[in-house]
Order: sequence, then C-alpha cells, then structure tokens
Amino acid sequence: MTPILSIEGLSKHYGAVVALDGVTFSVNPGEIFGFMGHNGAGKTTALRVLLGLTPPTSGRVTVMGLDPTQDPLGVRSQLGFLPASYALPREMTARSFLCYVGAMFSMPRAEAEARAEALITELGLSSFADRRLGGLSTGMAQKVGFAQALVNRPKLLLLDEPTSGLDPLGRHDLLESLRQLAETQGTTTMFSSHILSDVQTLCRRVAILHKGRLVAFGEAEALKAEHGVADMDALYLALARRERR
Amino acid sequence: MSPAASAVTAAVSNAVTNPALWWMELGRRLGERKSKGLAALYLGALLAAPKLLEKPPPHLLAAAQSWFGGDDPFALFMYVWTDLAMNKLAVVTGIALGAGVLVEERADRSLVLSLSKPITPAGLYALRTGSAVAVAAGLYLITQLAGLGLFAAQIDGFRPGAFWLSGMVHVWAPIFATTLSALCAVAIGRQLGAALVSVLVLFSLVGGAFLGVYNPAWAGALAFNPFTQAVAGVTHLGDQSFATLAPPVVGLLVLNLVLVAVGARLARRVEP
Amino acid sequence: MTPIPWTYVRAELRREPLAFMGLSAGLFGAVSILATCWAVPRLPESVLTLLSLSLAVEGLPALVLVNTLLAVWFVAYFVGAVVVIRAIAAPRAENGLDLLLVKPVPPEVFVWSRILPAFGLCAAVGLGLSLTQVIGMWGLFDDQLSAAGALGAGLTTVAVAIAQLGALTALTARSTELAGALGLAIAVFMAVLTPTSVFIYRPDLFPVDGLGRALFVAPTSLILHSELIAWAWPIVMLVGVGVGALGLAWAARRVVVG
Repeated sequence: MTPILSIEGLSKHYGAVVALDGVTFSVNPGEIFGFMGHNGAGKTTALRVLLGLTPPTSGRVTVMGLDPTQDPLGVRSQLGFLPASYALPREMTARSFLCYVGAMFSMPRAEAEARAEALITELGLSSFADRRLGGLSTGMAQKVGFAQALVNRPKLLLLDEPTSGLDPLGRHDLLESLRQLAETQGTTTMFSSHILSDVQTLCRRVAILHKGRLVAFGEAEALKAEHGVADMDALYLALARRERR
Repeated sequence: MSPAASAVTAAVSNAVTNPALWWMELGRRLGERKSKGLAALYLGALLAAPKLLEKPPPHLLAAAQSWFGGDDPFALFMYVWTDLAMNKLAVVTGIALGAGVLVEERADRSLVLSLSKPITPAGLYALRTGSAVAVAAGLYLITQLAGLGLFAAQIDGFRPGAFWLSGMVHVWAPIFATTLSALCAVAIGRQLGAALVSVLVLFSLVGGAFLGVYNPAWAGALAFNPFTQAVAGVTHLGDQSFATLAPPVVGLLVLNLVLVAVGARLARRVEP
Repeated sequence: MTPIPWTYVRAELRREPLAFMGLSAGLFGAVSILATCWAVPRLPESVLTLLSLSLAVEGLPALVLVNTLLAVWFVAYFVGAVVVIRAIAAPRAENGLDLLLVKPVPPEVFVWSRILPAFGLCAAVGLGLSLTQVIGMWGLFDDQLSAAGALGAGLTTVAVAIAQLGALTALTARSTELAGALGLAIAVFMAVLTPTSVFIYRPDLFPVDGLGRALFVAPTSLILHSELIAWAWPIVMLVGVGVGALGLAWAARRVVVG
C-alpha cells in the first residue's frame, strides 16, 4: 500500500534547539494514526513541516505524493488542519467563517454556502451558527475549529490536540466523527495528542516522539506486547523511562 | 520576475480567479468594529465641516484665496475639509486598518488557521491589505459623495466638480496611509510598534502636506511627501486639469504598488 | 491592608525596553523640533501673519514655540500611550491578562506598576524634547518669551500628556482588541487638540480671553502666560500627575472584569 504521508529522516533545528531529529514513519490511507508525545516533543513542528509552513532542516516529506516544501499550496488544498492553539476571528459568525474558508479553497460562493450549511448540520452547530465567534464557549469554538478543517472534504486530516479543552461529551462526539469519516469517506487522520486514552480508543497504529526523536512506531497492540504493558499510558511511560536512562 | 512582483501578480490573479474570496474578505472587513468606528468618524466630519466654516475669520479667508486662487469661500472650505478633516482621517484610517495586517492575527493566534489553507503569507498579506485599502477608499469616496449632496446647500460657492476631482486625488491619502501602515506591520512584526511608527511618520507627513503652499520656495523639495501630492486637487483648485492632477495620481498609484510589493515580500518570512 | 509586593513592582518596572523606545521616539521628536525651529522663521511674512492671527499669538518666538510644543506633546504622549496599551490592553487581547490578575497582587499595585513606566517614559522624553526646543530656539528669545518660559510651556504639555495617559489607562482597561485601544489613544489625543483646531476656524466660539481660552486653546494660552508658566510648571505637573493618578485609580477598578 502506498502511504498517504511519509516522513524520512526529518530533522528541524531552530538555532541550537533540535525540535526534530531524524524522524521516519509513514501513514496509510484510510487509517486513524496516533501521533503521540509529551508537550514539546516535536509533534506540532512535524505538523507544520507537513503543511509546508516551515521548511525542514533535512529529510524528506511526502504528503499525498507532493513535497510540501516545493508545493505547499497543493498539499494544503487537499488536507484539513486543526492546530492545537488557535483563535477564531471574533467578529465573524460560524456560518460566515465556514463560507470564508470555503472561498479560501476557491469554492464559488454558492458552493461555499452549501458546504457551510452541510457542516453546520452534520456537526451540530445549528444552535450557535449565527452567533459571533468571539462569544462562543471553548467546546463550541472547538467544534467550529473542527468544521473548518473539513470544509474542503480533505483526504487527510491533521489534528493537533483536538480533544484538549473539550468536556467528555464533546470528546466523545469528536472521536465518533473521526471514526465515521474514516469509515464512510475513507478519510485518513493523523491524530496528535498526549491524551493517551484517546489514542488508544481510536488508533491502530501509532508513532511516539520523545524530545524530537521517534522512540516507537507501529501497531499499538504489538508495541504494548513488546514492552509487556497493558495500555497506552504504560507504554508511553515505559518508553519515556527507557529514553531517560 | 522578482519574488515581490510575483506575490503581487499571484494576488491579482487570485482576485480575478477567486472573486468569492475577495468579496467575503471585504464583507469580513466591513463587519469589523474598527470599520464601523471609522464610518462614524467620517460621518462626524461631514456634519462638522460646514459648522466650522459658518463664520470664517477674514484673515483666513483672504489667505486661502491667495494660496489657492479664486475669490470665493469655496477655497477656504476645500482647505479646511482636506487639511483638518480628511488628512487627519486618512491617517487614522490607515493606522486602524493597516497596522494590524497579519501581525494582529498572529498575536491572537488566528493566523495559523488562515495559513493552513492554500494561500501563501504574501498572498494573505495582499488579500488583507487589499481589503483594508478597499474599505479605506470606499469610506472616503462615500463621504465625498455624501458631501456632494450635503455641502451644495451649505457652502457658499460650492463647486461639485472641483470638490469631486480633488477627492479623486486625495483618496490616495488614506490608501497610502493604509499600505504604509501594513508595510510597517510586517516590517516591525508587532502591531503596537507598527502603529507608533505609523502615527509618528504619517502625522509628520500630514503636517507638511501644505508647506509647499505656505512657502513656494520649498515646493520642489517637499514634493516627495505623498500627502503633498494627494492635496494637488486643492493646491491646483484654479487649474484642475489632466496635466496637473494625473501626475500625482500616477505617482501615488506606483508608490502604493511598491509598498504592497515590499510588504508582500516581507510577509514571506511571517510564520504563524 | 495588603503589603505591597516590591519584588513584583521592581520586575514590572524593568519589563519594557524603555530606553530603546525613549531614544528612538526622542530622536524622531528632536529632529522634528529642530526642523520646525529652522523652518518657521523662514516662512513668508504673510504666512507668519496668518499664523499669528489664527493662533492669537504675537512674535516669531511664540510662533515657533506653538509648533514645537505640538511636537513635544505628540511624541511624549504617543510613546507613553504605547506602553499603556502594552501594559493592559495587549495582554487582554492576547488572552493573557487573566493569568496575571489571579496572582496575589492588588489591582491598584498591578495598574500602577505597569503604568508608572509609561508616565516615566513620557516625562523623560518630554523633558528631553522641551530642552531640545529651548536649544533649537536659542537666539530667538525676546522680552516677551524667555527660555525659562519655553521650557515651562514644554513641561506643562508633558503634564497634560501624563494626565491623558491616566485617562487612556482607564478607558482601555477593558479593551479586548489592540485596534480599539489604539483608536482610543488617538481619540484621547485628538480630544484635547480639537478645541485648538476649532479655534483657528471659529474663534467666535471661544471667550475673548481669560480662563475659558486658557483652558481650551492650550498652546496659545501657554505662550500668553509663559512668564507665569516659567515658575508654575511644577504645580501644573503635580496636577497632571494627580489627574493621571485618578485615571489609574479608575483603571484599577475596571481592570478586573467580574
């Protein structure tokens, strides 16, 4: 199977700081892939390289057959991204914002409006779709953030800590949406998180970063068996302790 | 083609091929509180200007007539309208709309969402600056249009043609203030720093807009001031010909394109 | 009474790059003032007469001073205004103010510690520019306007700027957007300048002389009363700082949004 996303020997340095150090892994089409690591492990930097927002210091990255360094707009036009830390434009409504994002993907106005309406219905945004984004709760804002990542019907979703800040119900809804997207539309998701129970619920294969280095990659079950642990928390702790030694 | 020229070309081509985005961007801009605040300021200027000139002191009337030609109160009105009202509003408009381009979004963490879409930082800069310029020019021209109707009944000797023509040149003042403030934003990287530099530079330039009229010996040396060029419709009130008004307009058009191109080039280094 | 956390206060006072901001803005202001001192005497006689009639002042030194005072006031106010906005409105706009306000620092101490550098910067830049205008005008002073009068007038505009910064602090204490705070900064400046601008075109709206004109037509009145201002400016400065302090007290009540 040709991977939808592959990273080979990816390094990224910010001056003397090494954010990523020779990271190699790949993501298959249609899967929900867990991308784990502690805060500052390099997950967000890796996602920025995949989006072509920052160039790698060395290594090779391919996203849907494209090199994000060479063709960042081509990559971004086919994927959806939800950053870990962001703000929505305060003075727009969810509806006008989703239309606007549609226009950023070169959709004609009518198509953008129809797409916004569909997402509002599918993701349950109707009750606050016409309220100013500046006045929404964290959970509502996160739903709008998730919706904007889906406007272009992406083949690949890059989600950076999408469940942090959500209440249990919101988390459940979001994870369920991802599962449905994978099942019904074959959408691939790269799910970056340090909430390991979410990763365990959702992902069959995972990559784990620690201080910019890839410390594990493969089937979650196989990795757990290899390290003799029962869940993802224990797996992560075992790997982190091994790295510390 | 240079990278800056490419960025402008890409933005222009995006405008042609993606009008929906530009319309929505314009709608977004118009919905901002600062656009509404500016509209209120322009309305205030429309209502206040005739009151200011109800009883002009004779020395001022005589001076305006000697500077700008003619022997009617219209010359003084044009001077006051342009220097006291529209020049100052041009600066406020430019800083309000331009000084936050990209850096405001980076500060409030919404830039990362925009740049994860298929648009380059230079393209986003051109889009944001373009919409700011459109709102600045739109507010100005709507005010001029409203002035045509309002002032005709209130100002002695009001000449609609001359009023409109000088407005068509002076509309480049808020456009320049906006493109310069936007350039300061990406060059300095912080909204407040950009605003401070813009305030100091733009108010200084505005202060010197009519210096060449006060002392014709300095007119040549002061011609570099974009605000001096923008008030050409007033300084040539007695001779508003194509030959006198076209050069300032062309000069200001080129200057603004250069400012946007340089800004787009600097915007390439902006990371969310 | 809660004890004042002096360590925190000292940390706040060192937070801003005041020297860089002050030197940059001061240099810009000094060049503007020296250019004004050079240019105004070279204006044609008819323009000087017009300025004299419009601003109700007589003599070349007074005409130069009217213009340089505007530069002193403008630069001193706006460099302070940037620090004021960076102190409260900017962190609120970036969703970082709540982190600071939940610490065990009384709102009054928080506001004073953050705004005092703005007052200090405004005063330092204003003093430097007031001295610059005296140097720039050296040789122009006459029996109607002395160097001490010009310096006093400059420092009086600084007092006005400090009072305005206090008002700006209170007005922007709840600003959630930088653009809005910037708009308020310009509005506070224009609010004091506008009567003088109106005076040029509609002198009939103002009292012929006395307190009414002194209150509303600031640069003119400072020049007309420059001999008084030459020694009375410390009192005006105290009043300016007092008004600024009132603004900070009001800001401290507004900064914590319930």
